Amino acid sequence: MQVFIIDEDGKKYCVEVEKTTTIADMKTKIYDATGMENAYQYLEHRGKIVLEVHGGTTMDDYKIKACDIFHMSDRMRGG
Amino acid sequence: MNHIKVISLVQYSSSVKKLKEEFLRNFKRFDSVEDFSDHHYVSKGKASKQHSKNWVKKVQDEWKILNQNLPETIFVRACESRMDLLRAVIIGAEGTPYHDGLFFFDIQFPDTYPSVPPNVYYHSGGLRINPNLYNCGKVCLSLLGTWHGNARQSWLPKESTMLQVLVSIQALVLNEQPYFNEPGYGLIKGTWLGESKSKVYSENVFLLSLKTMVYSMRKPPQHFEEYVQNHYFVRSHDIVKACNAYKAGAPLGSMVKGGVQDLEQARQSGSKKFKTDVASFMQTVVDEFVKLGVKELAEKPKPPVNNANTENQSKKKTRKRSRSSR
Repeated sequence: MQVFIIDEDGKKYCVEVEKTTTIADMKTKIYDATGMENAYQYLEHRGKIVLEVHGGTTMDDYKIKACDIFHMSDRMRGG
Repeated sequence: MNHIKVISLVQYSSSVKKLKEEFLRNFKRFDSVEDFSDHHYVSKGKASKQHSKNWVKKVQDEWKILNQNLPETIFVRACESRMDLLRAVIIGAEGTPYHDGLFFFDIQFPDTYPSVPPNVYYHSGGLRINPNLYNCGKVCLSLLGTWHGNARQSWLPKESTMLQVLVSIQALVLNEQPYFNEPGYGLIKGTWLGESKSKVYSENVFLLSLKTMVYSMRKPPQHFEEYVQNHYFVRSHDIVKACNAYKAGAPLGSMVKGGVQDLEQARQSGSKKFKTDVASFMQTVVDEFVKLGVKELAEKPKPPVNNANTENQSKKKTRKRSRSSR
């Protein structure tokens, strides 16, 4: 299935994934498409950040469906 | 006759809710408005001020990016006469202590934008609901230049945008475990101490979120008045269901839309103080919902265990009657 990534400038990318694809693998595909290194990618999905270590590792664990939209954001720190 | 009346009432309620839902669906994610008289940054600059051509083009680009790419849970308003001002509302995400809440941010583009980051103010109402959102309204993030960070974490004039700021606030700031947003606290994430402190912090945040709901229903920001009313009208039952579940001991954030409980989280339990606090403040929230015109919010009566419960129930019934008589 395909999912869509929107970066901070509003550019759209299309990434091919399967239900069993891990988040880390998806980030690698996103790196191939955008050049943003895996460690710097924060992916927003339905208002939350997708984290590999939290609750699961695959598309299915996060209930990600075909044509879902992710907003990608850069890293930042808060105080 | 009673039967007919009951049917009519049910039909009326559902048709009103449909109208509200339609309003919410049709509410534009990005739109321009005439003025911003109650904006936090209204006194910075004037409508007659002349801006450089590059600044105007950059702001228009920002509007375009927002217009085309805002997620479903963020709404933004801009002003033609005051191009430097924006107002945004973010809906708290499911599974977080901010769920169903509305969080308002006023934004101003400085004259030297995009060389410097935008100014962002959070409508806190005096409540500190997150380590990064101060009770004075300050939004403390390296991306906004209000906290230190390395080059990659700071505002990048050629790359950073307002869309990124809003998406980051929603997903990275208003997240599931806000306690760990405090610098240094991330180190104890996953430890017993860290997780227990985080749980208590999140429970307190939910209570503050309920207060924020009441605050925004009583005094909604300009251009979002009708949106606030319709949002809480439609969400009132979900919010009440969640509060009832928390009172019964369900862990915070385990209620999903429609009142279904996430079984994975059901193993844990909310703290005693949390149950008590939700119970004590919930009536205030329900009263505000009733003012919006919501019907049938009454809790299901439970069998009385002792006299105290009986008294409480009779009090509730009395209140219900007085409300319905208005």
